[in-house]
Amino acid sequence: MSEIFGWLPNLLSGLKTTLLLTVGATFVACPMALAAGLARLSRNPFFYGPAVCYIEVFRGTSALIQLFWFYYVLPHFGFQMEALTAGILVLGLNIGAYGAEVVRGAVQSVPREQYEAAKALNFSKMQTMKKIILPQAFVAILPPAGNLLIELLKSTALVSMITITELTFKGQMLRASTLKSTEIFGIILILYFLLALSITHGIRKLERRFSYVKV
Amino acid sequence: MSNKNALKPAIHMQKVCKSFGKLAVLKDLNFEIQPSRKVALIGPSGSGKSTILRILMTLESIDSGRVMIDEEVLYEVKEGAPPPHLAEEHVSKIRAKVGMVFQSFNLFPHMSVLRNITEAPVHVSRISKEEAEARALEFLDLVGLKNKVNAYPAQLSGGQKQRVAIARALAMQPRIMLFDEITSALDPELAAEVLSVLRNLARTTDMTMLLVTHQMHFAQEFADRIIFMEHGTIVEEGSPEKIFQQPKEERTRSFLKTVLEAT
Repeated sequence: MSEIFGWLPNLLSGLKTTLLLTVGATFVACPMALAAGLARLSRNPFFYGPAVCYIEVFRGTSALIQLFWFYYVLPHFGFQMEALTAGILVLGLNIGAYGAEVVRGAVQSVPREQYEAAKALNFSKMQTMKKIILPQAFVAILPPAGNLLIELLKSTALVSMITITELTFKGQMLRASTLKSTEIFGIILILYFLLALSITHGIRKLERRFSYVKV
Repeated sequence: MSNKNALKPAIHMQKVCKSFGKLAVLKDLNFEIQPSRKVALIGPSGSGKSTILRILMTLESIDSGRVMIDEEVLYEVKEGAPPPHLAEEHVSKIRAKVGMVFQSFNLFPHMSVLRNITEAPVHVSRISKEEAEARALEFLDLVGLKNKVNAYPAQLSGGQKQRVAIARALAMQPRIMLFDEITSALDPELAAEVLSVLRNLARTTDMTMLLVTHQMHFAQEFADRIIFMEHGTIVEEGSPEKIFQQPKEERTRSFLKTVLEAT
């Protein structure tokens, strides 16, 4: 037991990095998903062209290779960045690409009649999006967004491949020095699970807060 | 036709053609409606009645012809020519004169009844929130739903939803109101409460009203002019007495016979 307490500082510092990666990447992913999702729906090729490229490239290639590119290849072209920055960017852009399709689907799920009602009341296109369509789409975005956030949390373990010592990497280091695989990975499993659970809980709360079918 | 304001029709359609793919919905349609008139469009499904309303609300474009509202050109398209680009500012100015109530209500489900009604006056007409709310309450009173001010659309019956939709359209103070089969999705009992609101409205305002309906009895008492359409053209028009008691055209007679027998 006292052994476990001995590991804690190490595991907690790993946990901190994992949280930092998850939160940081979420802040990258949300605006990317919104911007690319909406641009994807535009009829203007200057908007949807770049959006399609972004979405397909980041969904269609492995996140691990993307990490290697950002950390090992881009410096050859003059873009040097910290491992943590690269990790946050890649994870965020990756989840953002999936999120863009979620946003697109949710916006398209709002019935055409809502646009017509907005037009009949003389709302501008911008106002229609902001006041009528997006608030309704938001409710449909939440459940799949929860999925993506949990996916993001779990994929933070990938960044150990570019020298970041997050939770999983810390665990491996401890295992190498103590050989207590069961205990260490048991603790790590529980920690990930608790984090995922709190994401689920947070999304549920948002869903209840923003659900408009208050019967 | 009345001489009152005869020179300045509120709605004027000239040689309007509209197709959806290969299906011609409106064929060389001509008609005008004088201000303050209450006009009912009747005819079989697919005759192009709703399309007229949707064009006037700028929800559909036209293929050729000219559409004017209050003597201002809303659409003017030469046959075969590409549709001219209309400045959104211009269209929006004309659109402000027109309000529409839909068959499927189309309330905003994420807003309370009050916000459904005040949102456009506040953000489009830019009147103060206090004024918009005062106005909303007036119109809710008019449609008999003052007690539902804080309810959400999901908590209302179909008839109540439609009455809120009427209040929402009225709150923008349009000069022309379009009603597109507004009771078709309702049980007879709920339809009756909506029609009674409409009847009141027709009596008490000088708005121009254009109504598409399948309820002949209502059309007869609501309208001062009936237009019977079939296959994208006007077959016959005139006063309710003329259309319902002495229709000239055989097609009008057979249509009325069918629908009146059914009800």
